[in-house]
Amino acid sequence: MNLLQANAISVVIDERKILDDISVHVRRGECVGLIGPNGAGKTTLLRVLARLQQPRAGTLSWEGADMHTIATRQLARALAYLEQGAPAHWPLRVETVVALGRLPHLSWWQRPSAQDQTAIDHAMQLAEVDYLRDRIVTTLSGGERLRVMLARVFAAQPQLILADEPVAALDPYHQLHVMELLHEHAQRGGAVIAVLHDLNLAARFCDRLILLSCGQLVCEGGAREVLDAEHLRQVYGVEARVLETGDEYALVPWRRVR
Amino acid sequence: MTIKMTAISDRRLLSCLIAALLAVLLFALTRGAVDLNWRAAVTDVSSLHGTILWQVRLPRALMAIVVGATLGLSGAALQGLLRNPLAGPDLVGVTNCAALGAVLTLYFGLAGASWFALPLGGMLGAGISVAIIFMLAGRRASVLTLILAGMAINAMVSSLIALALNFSANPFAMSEIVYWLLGSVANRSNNDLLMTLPFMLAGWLLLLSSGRFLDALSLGEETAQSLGFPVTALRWRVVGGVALCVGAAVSVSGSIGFIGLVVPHLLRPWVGYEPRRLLPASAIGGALLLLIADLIVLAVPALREVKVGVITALIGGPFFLHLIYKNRSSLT
Repeated sequence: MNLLQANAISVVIDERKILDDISVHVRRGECVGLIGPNGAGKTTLLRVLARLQQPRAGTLSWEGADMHTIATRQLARALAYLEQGAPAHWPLRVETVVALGRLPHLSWWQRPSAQDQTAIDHAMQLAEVDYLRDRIVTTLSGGERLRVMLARVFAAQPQLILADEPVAALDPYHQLHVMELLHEHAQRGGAVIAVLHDLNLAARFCDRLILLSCGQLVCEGGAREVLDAEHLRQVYGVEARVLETGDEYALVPWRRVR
Repeated sequence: MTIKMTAISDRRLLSCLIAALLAVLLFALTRGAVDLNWRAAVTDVSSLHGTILWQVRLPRALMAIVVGATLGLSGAALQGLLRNPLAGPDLVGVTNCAALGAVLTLYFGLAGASWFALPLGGMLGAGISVAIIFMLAGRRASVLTLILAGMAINAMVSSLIALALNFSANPFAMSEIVYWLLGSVANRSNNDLLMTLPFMLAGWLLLLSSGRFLDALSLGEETAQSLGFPVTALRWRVVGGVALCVGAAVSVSGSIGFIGLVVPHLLRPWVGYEPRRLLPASAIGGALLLLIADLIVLAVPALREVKVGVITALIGGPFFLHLIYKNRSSLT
């Protein structure tokens, strides 16, 4: 069964159609890449899936059940959202920030239990931010801060992670690190939908790619299928050089064709 | 083995603050124009000394405590809500707007008509100002829009208060409004306290129960929403809480400035930056600070005629300048 299924989603903002009749799904164990040029509607789609944006039309279902019938708290535990830029507004300790991931599990009168602390410690180990525990989050580098936010997401023990441009503005080392962490989450039986701009990272780490353009779903499937020369030209307006060695391949956007 | 590095535990900090508050309260009760005979005051409530203790000094000290707690708590809550250390009920115009509401009820003579007219006027004023700030500064309140919104509201309110003064029937009514505006906790009766306390308690409850939401907000509104917090509803809960308690407080004390801004800053070195932990600490800290400020007014003979609101403004103004100086690199 699909973990999350979105059917015929349309979003209209200020009389402008941002998403037009889009259906997507994600299964357990899958890492899905949401790609497309700027303004294609990737972030809006992700926000609809995270229930941050109300669609004009369309339905969302979670494990086969209508999402509206599921309590907000229950969804907040199952489905985590990693905001673009992963903001932190106060100079909080890293462990405190990670602990915020436990909020969906706590009622307002409850104090964090030993079980919560275990989840927090485990999440910090997964995201490899254990050594940053007592650092102040606003003083970290971009890559470190993103991993801390990922630990915050892991601490909630969600099934599905929705990540909006998780590797934007990170150096190559941290890009690989964050993608590995997301991929591992899917491997452990969770699921990931990530908005990505780096086509190579998307091709390498995602099991399936969804290509959007101008609010329409253009193509869906494996990397080679989605990122073929025709799509790159039509959707992105670029021509790419492709390097292939056996199963592995990489593409380099080479020239503009529009 | 993990090492906990919380500065001071919640319980320890709160007990220290409460102990300090009680000590200052006791000390405040011994201060005044008359050297109090405690035995007479406690055994015979209706005696002269009893009246001084129970009808003059205690209401004044308690008033300082509840008004200070309200301002400190509201400051911490607003700073958490707007994710901005320069927010405070007076800087964003809430205090003055509440004062305007109260002034208008005084001006139109409604205050005498019903016991709840004055607090209601104050709370309405406070509520309107918070709503205006929200419409102006909106979701992503930058420091600049926030300060500008506060400035605009304060300017508007000052002009309306000036208008009320201009039209006031006689010099006596005028001086009543002016004195009231300076902000003081002196000469308030137990009835004033009992009348406004329920509104303040309701506001405190709304604010204190929003701690987890404010913590979640430190990761941004979208993330807070994704963590299961209904952001819009909870935002109005905080706004409503501030309006309720600041409105009620200002309607008895007049405008007392800067407590809400200063207290969270004084406490952060001990409490840390977590908005939830700051809430109760700022409430007690605010009570302590206003009680001490009022004690200064009482204890220094030269200041006996000075309103405590003037003292807090005299100290708070430079403190605000210092904050801007300290934060000037991050204020763009």
